[in-house]
Amino acid sequence: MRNISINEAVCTGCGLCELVCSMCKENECNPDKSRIYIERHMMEGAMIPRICINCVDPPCVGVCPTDALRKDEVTGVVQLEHDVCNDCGECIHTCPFRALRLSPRGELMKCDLCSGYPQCVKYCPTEAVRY
Amino acid sequence: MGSSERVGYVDLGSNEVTIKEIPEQLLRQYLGGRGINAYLLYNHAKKGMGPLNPESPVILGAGFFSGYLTNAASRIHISGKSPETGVYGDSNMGGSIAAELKYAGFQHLVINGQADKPVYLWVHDGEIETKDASKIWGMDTYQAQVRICEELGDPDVKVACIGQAGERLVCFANVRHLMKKAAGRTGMGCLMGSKRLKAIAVRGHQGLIPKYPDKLLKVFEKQSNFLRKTKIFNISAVIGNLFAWIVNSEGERISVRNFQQGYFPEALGKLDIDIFMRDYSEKKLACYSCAMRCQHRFHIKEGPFAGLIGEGPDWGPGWNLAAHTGNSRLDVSLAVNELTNRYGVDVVTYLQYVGWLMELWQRKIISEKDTGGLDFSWGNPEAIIQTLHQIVNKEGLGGILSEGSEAAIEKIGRGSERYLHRCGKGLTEEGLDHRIWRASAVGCHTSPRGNCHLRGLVNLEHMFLPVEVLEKIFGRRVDPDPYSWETKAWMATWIQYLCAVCDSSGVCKFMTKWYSPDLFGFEEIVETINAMTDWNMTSEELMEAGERIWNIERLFNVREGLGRKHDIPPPIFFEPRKEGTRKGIGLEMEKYEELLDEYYELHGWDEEGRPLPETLRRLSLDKEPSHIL
Repeated sequence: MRNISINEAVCTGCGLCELVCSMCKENECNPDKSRIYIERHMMEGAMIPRICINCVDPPCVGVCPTDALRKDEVTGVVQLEHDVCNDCGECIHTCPFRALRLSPRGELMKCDLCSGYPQCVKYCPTEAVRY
Repeated sequence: MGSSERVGYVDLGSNEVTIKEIPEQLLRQYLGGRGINAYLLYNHAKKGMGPLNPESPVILGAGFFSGYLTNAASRIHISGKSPETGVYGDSNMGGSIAAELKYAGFQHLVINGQADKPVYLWVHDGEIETKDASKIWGMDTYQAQVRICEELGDPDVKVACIGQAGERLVCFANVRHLMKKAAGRTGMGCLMGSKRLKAIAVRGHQGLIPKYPDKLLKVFEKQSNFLRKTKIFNISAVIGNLFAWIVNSEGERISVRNFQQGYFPEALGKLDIDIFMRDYSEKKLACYSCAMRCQHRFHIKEGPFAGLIGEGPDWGPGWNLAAHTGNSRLDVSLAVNELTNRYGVDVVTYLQYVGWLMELWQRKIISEKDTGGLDFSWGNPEAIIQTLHQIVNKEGLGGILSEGSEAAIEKIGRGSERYLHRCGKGLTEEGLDHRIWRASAVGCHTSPRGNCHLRGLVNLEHMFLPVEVLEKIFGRRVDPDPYSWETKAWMATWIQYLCAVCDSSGVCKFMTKWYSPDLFGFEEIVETINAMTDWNMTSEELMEAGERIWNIERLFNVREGLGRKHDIPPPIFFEPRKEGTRKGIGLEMEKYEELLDEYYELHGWDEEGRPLPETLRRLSLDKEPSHIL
């Protein structure tokens, strides 16, 4: 499957990925509503993009109490069904890549690869996020 | 536009907080950042009031675009009456705090009064609180930022703070954010220190909603695609703005040994950009929403500063001002930048003073008796570094610099004034030699805060561009000859208005024609405005906003009694170069005065540089101060 890959060594922390994502998904500019986010460590100069990389055996799927998360066997994408999700956050604590989080409204946010055309990848200036 | 276009007024003395929405008409006239800051400063500062009076405000303003999906709209502007010069003061920096301020529900903060103990402001989701900073007072700018994030329990809190220099009222202390960003000149950090305000911490979760989201995405896509194909973008993405060192040192446009020369042969093989990239630079970092990433993270691996890790420096402080002090050691330059970052000292002013002291030493005006035994020979690292410690600790020869140029000249005396190069408004020069500029000389020296390349440098003047290209940019025929005095008033004016619009919209000048002819001008900036709002603004109206901002800043200085003589560059630039390929080149007073006349006429100002009543009416400034905000 085509998948997201991250090269944090070249991430500059510019946050264009966050802005583009929130605009595409929520029609507003708000990094706290982005499905990708950058963990910024000022003193270390480390910028770490966090986004779902659709694990082969995703632990989030296993812990989801409402079966809102499932791995699509054909595409390999971990899919979130918003209508079923109760925003309990179990998956957030389980994800080893810290790729999931809640929006300011308390709703679970997860990258859906923009139907195969991830916009964060399109605008990342350094290919820190690739597809 | 959403609910973030608001001003938060804070009185640190009474702990009162008031919040006002900015009327749309004012946004349209002044945008935000520098523009609305200027409006607020003119309306809230009182004529003749000392900068360190508790009632003298310090004002922060995020750019109008900050937080939106636009290219490099990361800038925040800090304004107030300058403790360094006593006239208009302001400075601008990047980073991520401008966007965060908008997400927290504010575009501007007006801070008045004096706290009875050290405090910091906690601005979050529409609220402003004052928090105790007693345990943070005394920390350097890195420690303070880390500590505040820990205290607030959120690593995504963005902090602008002062270091020990601001706390101790060094008059050219700056305001700092992250490791590299500095609102550097005119002593805004000193203003904060005088209010016992250590920092402003910001965190917000509120989104910004453009009027036309699809249109904003399309404008962003179009501009990004264009930008990323330009040569200048691809150069800056690799070496940042350090290419400017190559261009300006080879072009003999810099100050070497306090403006005695314009070329620095000692730099060859020592200050080369290739050496920095090979031996020091480890990574590139960017301000918020900027693809260009001009900032280096560097690591000194050997020598006396081995192990030092820092960010920056910009070509100006790191290279240009190294030449100014005769310093050809890159590790010293990097270490000095890092120290100034931690202390919160404006590196430009400080190194201008070091260059001055070194020339006084060279001319035997000062000796070991004055310097406490320090050898001020050109480039001596010990003198450079010790002076910085002395400035911050207010001791020794460096200590007298912390009170500003007038005090330093008075204390040293002995004809030393002749060698301290200050513009008419009293601000020390930067590192560029204005003998060889014409549009830039008038553009920079008519700047409200004093000589400023970020307000009026016409980089396009020295690029040898075809006359047709220049005509397309400036909208009228201009003279491409850099030494010509013709048409330079218009070139300066056009750039000044563009800079005002950049600083008010929050767009970094590195994205614009200030930096390179193929980048953005008024047309591109107005495209974003028309996606964010339903204003249907024209680029002419946007340019007029730039003119309005330039004029209200002028009004502030006119109210303080400033006039024509404050727009004159220092005498050194009227002394022709004595050597090099530009030998014999200098400004000529008669020509400069003529240029100033032409410049004033273009602006609709009288012979003293005061805006005429009809100019004020045309720009809707005739009712100012109107106290709407």
